[in-house]
Amino acid sequence: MNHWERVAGVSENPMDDDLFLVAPVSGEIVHLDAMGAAIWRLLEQPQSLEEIQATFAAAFPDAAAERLQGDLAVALETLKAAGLVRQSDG
Amino acid sequence: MTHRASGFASPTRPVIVDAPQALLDLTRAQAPHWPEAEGADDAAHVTALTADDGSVRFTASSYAAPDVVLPPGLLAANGLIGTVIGAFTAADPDWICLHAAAVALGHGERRGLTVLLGDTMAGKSTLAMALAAGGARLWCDDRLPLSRDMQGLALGLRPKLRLPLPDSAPSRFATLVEARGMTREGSMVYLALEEEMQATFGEVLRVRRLITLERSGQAQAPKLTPGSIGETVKRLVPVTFAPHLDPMTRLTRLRQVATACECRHLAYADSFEAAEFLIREPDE
Repeated sequence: MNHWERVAGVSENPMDDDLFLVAPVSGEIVHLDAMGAAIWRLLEQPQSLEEIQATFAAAFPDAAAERLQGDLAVALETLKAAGLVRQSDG
Repeated sequence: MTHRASGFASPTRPVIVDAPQALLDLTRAQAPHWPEAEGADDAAHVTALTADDGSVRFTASSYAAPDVVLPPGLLAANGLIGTVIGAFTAADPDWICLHAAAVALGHGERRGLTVLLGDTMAGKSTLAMALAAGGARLWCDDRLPLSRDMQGLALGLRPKLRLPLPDSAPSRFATLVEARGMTREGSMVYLALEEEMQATFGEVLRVRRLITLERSGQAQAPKLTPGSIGETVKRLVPVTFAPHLDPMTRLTRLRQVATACECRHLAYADSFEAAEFLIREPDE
C-alpha cells in the first residue's frame, strides 16, 4: 500500500499556534497553515491516503467529502513539493 | 572602463568595492553620507563585473551574491548598494538585514523604530514617506540592517517613490516630492531629505514595533490589531537577508526579533490616511 511519510531530517520550530519546518535538502523555511500542520502531526507515523482522509473526515464531519479530499490532496502535494513529506511503497 | 577601489564603512568590517568610476559616483550619490573606509585585513570585497553593453553583476567575498545582471544606471547603483549591505551583514552573525521600511516614532522612553513589513506592492515606501512628511523620522525605505540587540542601523540612502503619486496624495506631499526630487529613472524618483526628516548613516535606534501591512483595494479606515509571533515571523522569513545563518538559527533569531517587539497588523486602503492614523496614535 502506498503511504505518505515524513522526509528524514526535517527540523521543526513551533511558535504558539504556528509551525515552521526546515526542509533538509533545500534549507527552505516553510510555514505550515492549519491543515498542513495537522497533516504533519498525523504523519508522525506513515499513513495511507485513505487513513489520512478518514482521520480528517472524522475530525470535520460537516465538511463536504469531495472538498475535504481536494484540500488534502493540495496540502500533501504542497508538503511534497517543499521536500517535507514523500510517498513510499509499503 | 576604468575601475577603482572604494571603501565603504560598516558596523562589522569595511567593504572594499572594485567597480567602474561612473558606477561608484552614481552609488555615492545615492548614499551621500556613507563614510569611506580604508582597507583592512578583514575587509569584505565586492567586485563589479561589467559587460560590453554596460550591464553589471556583482560578486562578494563574504556571501554568494545572486547572479543577477543589472542594466547600467541607478538600478546598477542600487544593486551595488545591496551587495555592499549583504557583504557587511554576512560578515557577522550578530547582524541580519530586513527588506522593510522603518520610521522613528514615539516620545521619550516609547521612542523607537516602527518597522513596516509587506509584499512588494504593499505600499511600504509610500507609507514610510507619508509618515516622514507627517513628522516621523525616516530610517529607511527598503533596507534595515538589524543587530542582535535590536538596534536598527540607518544607512541614509535616498528614499524612492514610484510616480505618478496616488490620487489621494495631499497637495503638500506632492509639493514635497517635487521639491526634494533629485533624480529620476523610469517611473522612480529619488528624494534628498534633510536630516530632520531622515536619519543619516550610522544612527541607531531600537526596534520597538513590527507592523505587517495589508493594503486593500476597497476603501476602509486604517485598523491596527495585535499580531501573533508566528504570523510576524512568517512575514519576516521571506524578507530577511541572513545567508550566513543556517535556517534554524535564522528562525530562532526571527523569533527573538518578534518576541522583543510589539507585533501589530495594519489593514488599510490609503497610505496617507494610514500615516495620519499612526502619527496620531504612535503608542497603539
